[in-house]
Amino acid sequence: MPDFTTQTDEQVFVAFRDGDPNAYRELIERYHDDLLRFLTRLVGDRAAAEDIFQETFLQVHLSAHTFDASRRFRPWLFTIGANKGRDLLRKKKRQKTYELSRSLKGSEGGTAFVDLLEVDVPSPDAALDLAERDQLVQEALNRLGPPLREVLLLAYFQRLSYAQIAEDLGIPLGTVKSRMHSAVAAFARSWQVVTKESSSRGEDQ
Amino acid sequence: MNATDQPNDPQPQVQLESTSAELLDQLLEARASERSPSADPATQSILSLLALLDTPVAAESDRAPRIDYTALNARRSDSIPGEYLSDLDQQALDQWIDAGCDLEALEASLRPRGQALESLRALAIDAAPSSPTAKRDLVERTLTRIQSQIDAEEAARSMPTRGKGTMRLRMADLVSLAAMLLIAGSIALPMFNSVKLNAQQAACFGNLGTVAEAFGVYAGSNRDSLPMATAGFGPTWMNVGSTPDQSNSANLYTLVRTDHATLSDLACPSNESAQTGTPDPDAWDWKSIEGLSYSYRIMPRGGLKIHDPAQPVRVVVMADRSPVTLRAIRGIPVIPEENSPNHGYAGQHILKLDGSTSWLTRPVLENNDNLWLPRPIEQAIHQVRNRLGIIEGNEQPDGPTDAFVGP
Repeated sequence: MPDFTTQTDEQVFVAFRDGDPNAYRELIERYHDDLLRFLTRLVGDRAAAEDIFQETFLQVHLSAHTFDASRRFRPWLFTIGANKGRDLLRKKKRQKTYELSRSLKGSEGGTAFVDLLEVDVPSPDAALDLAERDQLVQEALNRLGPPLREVLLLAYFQRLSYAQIAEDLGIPLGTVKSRMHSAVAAFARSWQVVTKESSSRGEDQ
Repeated sequence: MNATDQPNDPQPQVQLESTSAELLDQLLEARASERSPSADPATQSILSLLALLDTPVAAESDRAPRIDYTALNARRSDSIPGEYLSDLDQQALDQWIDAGCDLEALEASLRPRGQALESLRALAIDAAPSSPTAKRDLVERTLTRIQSQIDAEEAARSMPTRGKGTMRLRMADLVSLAAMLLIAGSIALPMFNSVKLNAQQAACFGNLGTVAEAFGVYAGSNRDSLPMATAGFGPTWMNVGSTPDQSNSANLYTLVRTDHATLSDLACPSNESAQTGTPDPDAWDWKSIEGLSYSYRIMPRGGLKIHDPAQPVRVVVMADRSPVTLRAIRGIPVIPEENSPNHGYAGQHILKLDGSTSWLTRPVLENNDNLWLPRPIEQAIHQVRNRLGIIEGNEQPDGPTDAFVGP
């Protein structure tokens, strides 16, 4: 099996398109963790995310001839995954959205400005029960509603600049910024709410 | 979330309060006569809101309008609460994103906020990691799916030129596998009386629910593990009724042996030979494969955890008995798509790791995974089918010694 370790994603993709079967395995393995996490967070269901993961790579195969290898592979892959995830959510019509127009606890009576320094977020290496945290994060994300959840996750997972996101999504730079501001604020607030609710439940038991 | 928080509540009727209505009227009049609107905050707020209506409709997809609608909700200010980042947080976020999420690139005063963003990011992207086995499994399933597509494309391309010579060569290599495949599409097997069948199906379905509960109770007192009688198998897992280390059914029988289920719970009413009654206290397994009604997931070494976050929850743990194993034990060719004999070959119940049960009219899951076979054999079958196809009616005997009758 050829050694792809020194090759970029785009080079590996070109090798796949040229017929090297090992190249596709390499791409799938490279993106297994990141893409599966992204999809799990987006659709809120690990099993469904696994199905979409497969569909995403199948779509990559089917659309391989349309990909311009001078561009980056990662955003293309995630955009396909996001489209598949959105299709699934729409199909199942089970978006348990929490519109931003709806008041979250703690913000009644007007616009709430979120100050991130006041949000109690555990540091990445803090020892928390992983399963519990996983559940709470998903709950917090589900409250955002799919559009904000999508832009938040795409930006975070792709680590793109605003300009790149604007180009990928085909929307104005200012819109990208405002969406991100809203998404981050809503996620921070949601996190506050779900953790507070969770600790209340813990105290009640 | 309580009931009143449900987002499906009907939208209340809303009306502009009188001052806002007045301002809106003035604004529209000023606009019509090309006068500058007032600079007071309330007017500017309405202007901002109206400006959103000028947002061009994106042609590339329906994504933008949906998001813009949400953005509209987010930007409404006084009348409807929303969530906004503070100015400093916005600055920190913008710098952080544009620096490729590099904390060091932030101004020193903004770094604490960058830390908070980094922590939020970690929250958003961290998920329970996959075990190496689960990762390998998903990679293989993905590759199988894509390979199926590639095979189908190749088959479609080669169809018009497929010649007898090619077939003969492949036959020589794959005769034993092909023999069982060619009859798969046309097999017809007797059906039972449908009313009786439905009643039996319902009882069988009930069995699966009982067993699901039994699995849960067993796992609760056995470190989350599904029933397991032995750490590994000998030469085969098919030898029902022999020693525990030679039969996967002995693993399922553990439920009976440990009083988590009865033999009747594990007896499908459609299986007339099903073993029921009081179990032999020394037994480790069903007496014979005929007495066994359900097939159990082949246990990997080390067993299977019921609550392992890395384990796909939709993995099938139990199903109506496999016709493939029955045929293999009897030494007759197997038919991959044959349904379980339990319900007149009409279909099979399955029980998944998440406790859900369902009825399948084909032994194939949504992701093309065949219940009765491991993936390498499924892949081989798929490739053979795509290269040889099913009998189309234009084949000829392969010489004078080739027995070949029809239809």
